[in-house]
Amino acid sequence: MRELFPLGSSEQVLMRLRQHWVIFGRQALAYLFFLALPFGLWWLQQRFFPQLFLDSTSFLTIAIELLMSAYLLFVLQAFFTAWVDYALDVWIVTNQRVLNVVQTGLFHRTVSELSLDRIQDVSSNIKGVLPTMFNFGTITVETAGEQDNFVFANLPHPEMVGKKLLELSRAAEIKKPAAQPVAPTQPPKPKR
Amino acid sequence: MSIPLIALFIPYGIFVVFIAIRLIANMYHVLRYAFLHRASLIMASLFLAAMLVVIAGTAQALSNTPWNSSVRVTVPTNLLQPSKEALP
Repeated sequence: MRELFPLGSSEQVLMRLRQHWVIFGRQALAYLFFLALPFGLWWLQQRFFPQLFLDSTSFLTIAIELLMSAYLLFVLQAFFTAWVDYALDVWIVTNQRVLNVVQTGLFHRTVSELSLDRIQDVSSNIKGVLPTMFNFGTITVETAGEQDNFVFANLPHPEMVGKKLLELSRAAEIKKPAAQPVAPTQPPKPKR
Repeated sequence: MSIPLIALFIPYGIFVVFIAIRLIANMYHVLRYAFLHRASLIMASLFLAAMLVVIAGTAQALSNTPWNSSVRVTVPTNLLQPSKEALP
């Protein structure tokens, strides 16, 4: 898979995380229902009102055929867009940083980046019946300084991922070169 | 009143062009970011095939349509004129 961002020379991808498949599965079920709906209606019409639409060249028959075709195309492209949206929402952890790539619709992508040594705390949250059953939840990474927290929702195995992130953060802090001691500054002498 | 059948196909054609633009945008994303990712390519191919099947099915269903003909939409004249009984 081609990366969504350029990697540094000594940078390695350690984890590539997506939302849990249940999230897309729920959407997919809804889209499949909407795709099956016109076929169900057609079956009902054939069974209970077979005399309708017998003339294939009538205005009503042609209009309904075109409408059904447009409806199916619309649902299919919405399904495809939902899948692309799901596939491109990704959280990438390298040995130097964490990247959060959020795809909103077709033409809106946000990429946020956080250096591992700026991670202060990681918390995970599993809330609800489905998340508890399938073990997915939200991870919140608290950062040092003014930067916003990193939040990634519906991530599989959030506790394990949080633990791994903290380990990586501690390792990055150890590797970080010690800051140069700063010479104490003299307070300004009062002018006479 | 006669409506040429082709009038039905113009909005449908415009809609298909709109869908095609969205489809191209989706394929662009798939090919740019998920190239060589097998699942992405399989899913993209499935969606593309499904859309082509829908368009081909529509074309097949409408293959007997006399394209250059018009459909006559008749409006009952008694709806437009009040009946004699209704007049004072």
